[in-house]
Amino acid sequence: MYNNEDVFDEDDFIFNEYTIDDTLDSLSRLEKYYNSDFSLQRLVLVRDVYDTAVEAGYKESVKRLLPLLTNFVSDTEPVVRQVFADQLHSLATFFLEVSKSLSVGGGDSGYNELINTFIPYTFELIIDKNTEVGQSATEALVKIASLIKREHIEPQLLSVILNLAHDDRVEEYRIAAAKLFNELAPVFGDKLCREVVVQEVIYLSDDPSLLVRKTVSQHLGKICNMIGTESTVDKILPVFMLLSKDEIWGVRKACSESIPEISKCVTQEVRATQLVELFERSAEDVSRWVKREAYKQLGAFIATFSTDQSAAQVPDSLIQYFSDMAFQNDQNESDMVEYCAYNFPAVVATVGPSKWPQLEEAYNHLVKDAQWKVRRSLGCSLHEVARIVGTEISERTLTSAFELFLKDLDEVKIGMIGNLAKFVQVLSDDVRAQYLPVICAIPEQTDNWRIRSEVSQQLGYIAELIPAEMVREKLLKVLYELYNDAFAEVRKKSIVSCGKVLKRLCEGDEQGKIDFLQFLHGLAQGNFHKRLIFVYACEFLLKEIDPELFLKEFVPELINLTQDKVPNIRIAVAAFTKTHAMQNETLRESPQVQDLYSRLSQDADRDVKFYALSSSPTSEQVKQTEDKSHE
Amino acid sequence: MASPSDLDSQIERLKRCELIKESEVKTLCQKAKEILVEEGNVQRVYAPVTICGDIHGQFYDLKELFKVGGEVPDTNYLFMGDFVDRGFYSVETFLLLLALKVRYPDRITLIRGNHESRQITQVYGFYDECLRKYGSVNVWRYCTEIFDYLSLSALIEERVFCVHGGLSPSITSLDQIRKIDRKQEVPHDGAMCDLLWSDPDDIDGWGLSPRGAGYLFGNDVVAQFNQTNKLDLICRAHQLVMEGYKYMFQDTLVTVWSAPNYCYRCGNVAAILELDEHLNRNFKVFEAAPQEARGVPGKKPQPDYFL
Repeated sequence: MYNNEDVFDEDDFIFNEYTIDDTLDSLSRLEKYYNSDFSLQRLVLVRDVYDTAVEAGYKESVKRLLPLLTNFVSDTEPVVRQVFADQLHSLATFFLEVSKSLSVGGGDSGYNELINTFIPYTFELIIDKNTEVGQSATEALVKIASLIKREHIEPQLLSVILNLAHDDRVEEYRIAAAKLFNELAPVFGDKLCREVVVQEVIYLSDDPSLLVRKTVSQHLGKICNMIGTESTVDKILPVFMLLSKDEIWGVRKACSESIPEISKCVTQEVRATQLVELFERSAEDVSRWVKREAYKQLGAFIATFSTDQSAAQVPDSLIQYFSDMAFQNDQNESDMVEYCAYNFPAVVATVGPSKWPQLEEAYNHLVKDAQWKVRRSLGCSLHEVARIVGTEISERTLTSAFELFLKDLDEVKIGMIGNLAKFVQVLSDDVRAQYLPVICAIPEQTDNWRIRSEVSQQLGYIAELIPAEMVREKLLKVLYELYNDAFAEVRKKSIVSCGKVLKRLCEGDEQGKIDFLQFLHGLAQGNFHKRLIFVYACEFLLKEIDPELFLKEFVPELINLTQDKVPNIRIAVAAFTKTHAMQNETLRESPQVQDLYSRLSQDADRDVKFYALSSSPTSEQVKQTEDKSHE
Repeated sequence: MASPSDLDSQIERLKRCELIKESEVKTLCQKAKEILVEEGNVQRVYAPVTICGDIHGQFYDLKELFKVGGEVPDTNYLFMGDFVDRGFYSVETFLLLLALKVRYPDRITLIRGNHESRQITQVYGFYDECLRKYGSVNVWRYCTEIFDYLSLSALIEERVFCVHGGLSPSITSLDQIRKIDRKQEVPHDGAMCDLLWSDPDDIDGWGLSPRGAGYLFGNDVVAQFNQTNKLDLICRAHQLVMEGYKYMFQDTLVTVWSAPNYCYRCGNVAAILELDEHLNRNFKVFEAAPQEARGVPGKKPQPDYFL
């Protein structure tokens, strides 16, 4: 790899054109490099522009950052424009909120920027010649629209979209308008939608451009939802029916796609007559694409028949169409089979267990389908279908699916195992007892640690569903193996069940309680991994059992572990003590726990000390933050 | 100075494969330098510890490794270099390991591989990745400067010697390694280069390496070195082994490779070596993270069914 003639030279490493002066604050950096020839540099500056504004503060941002933004709207690089579009909402919100809190210009100056700067930029990007930029900007506008005052919606928002809709030269403008009418319908509200938007959409539905008609066909649901059933049936439905007979297949396909959305906003009668006819026509369309789309939406369409009563009146013809999809594999239409499996729970939920005989054959065919994705989908939803059809049907037909999936590929198996306890819950006591050994054998029959991890997480819930004696006789052995698994993640996931298991044994099986306690003490005195998992167990034991029992059985072990030679064990003890033991009223007051805590806070290891002393957030708080960041 | 809570927040973001800010990288590297400069060329490490080989920017497989071996600070780790290049996420991989090092200096040890070099990273991906993700070479500069401070080897409980590549004809004792001035770019030849580039081979004595740097060394060389330095085992990485680990020379040397399905196409499994508190050895073999574990961060996965 080294070339000996290629002498190392410090000068080789001067990359002036790619270097950024890192002594500058981020706003000065933006000022210096916003028009860099190196587009990646501009991209990164735009990506960070919100943080830059926050860091620089309102005044400096208005003076120095705002004037630069126009450059990004017209940047030569589409991805820079797109990333800028992604930033528009948070930037606009920043200016709005900060000016309010500072009462700049009577608190209105940020709002003025919204109206005079950010909305015009957003519209400029919506009609960008690059569709991804347009898409990002459309999404930005939907978010920004919620910041606009009621009285400005019509002059500042709707009127601009009307101009786009009325532009006869550029079809892209009319396409953008057709999308925005629908996306912004909730912002326009009932009145504007009825008085203005509906006529505009009707007008666009007759557009000479097929792309405009297609866009209209795809973007009606939110408008219908806003104007209500009566207006939808009166005004939108006739247009929709016309579009569904368009000579261009792409338009008809778009209509097939919208059937469920429209169906949600019409009367049961219209749904059962006109829309069913429309579906049947689409399902027989000369175009294969229209047909497939209709079938793809069938499950969602059937779900719209669901009413307040337990079971809906679905035309039997639709159930027939739906169950036929399961057999389309023979016609080389494998997508159809996937859609059928995907929508199966929704359809069963809508039509109810009484119609199960009309679906059973399809289900039994699907569980043997050649595509693993089909079987995975059914595996994942098995517990839902079981819940809907009830114990009797589940035991008669679904248990065979359960047995098949257990022998299936890992992808299928793991999907089902993730909800195993919920499935078991539907079964009667006898059948549960019959399947328990099968479930307990899953871990030893796989070398995939994810499967062991999934099944281990179910066992605590299953322990709650079976007699305590059975927990001792059947469950403990496999639990012991999982708690000592070779893979850390399996140990950590499986130990979660220990509290529920001990609680169940305490309730009804003295021998089981003795055995399990003995095992837990064994962990506390075992090798490094065992001692660590014992400390983890404490969190879940404390959650489920009497604190006095915890104090008697486990606190002495924890005190011993404060002398452990391995710092990692002491770190875990410190974290448990601080975040769990010290939060428990009974424990906190006890001299033993106070002794435990004081030993840890004087530990020589800095990490142990940190965990003992830090006001680190509880795992619940951490989880909440994580959930937030995933939104 | 970065506080533990700043670091924890950076670690959380990096674990989601999100980038941290350039200014945060700069501070992190400054702090890392203060810690690394204190470490010896033969860094002392205590058992229990889990030894890992090449990672090469395979971020999601590194996360898989932590699932197999346990998270820091539950588990102590020793990574034997080659954190960067080849894979798609060298930046996130190296910064996560570095952030863990700064947050838990006693729990994780990082030693230098031949890819932790200015010259090599310009050819094999890390340089381009930094440029692409940060729009400038600043982050690459901060990181390559840290590379110069990484220790060259580690010694576990006086018995197990860990190094990225292997031995050097100019080194017979650990004390000679301790005397190297390591704070520099990896040289083209000499002891420091050899430690990072050499490979064991079924030969007697020393041989020329086909890599153009370092040497090949045989059973007798290892036997002599282990005897001189009272070692049970040499642990090294640097070479792809399809089974994840491979013993040589009557179990006196082992190669550990921790990048499963290397370069996303080699089809190999990976391994880590767990040494418990009594230095008992336990290899854990694992596969590449499945597709669904490589999700776009923050994006919810497609549902499997409709209800």
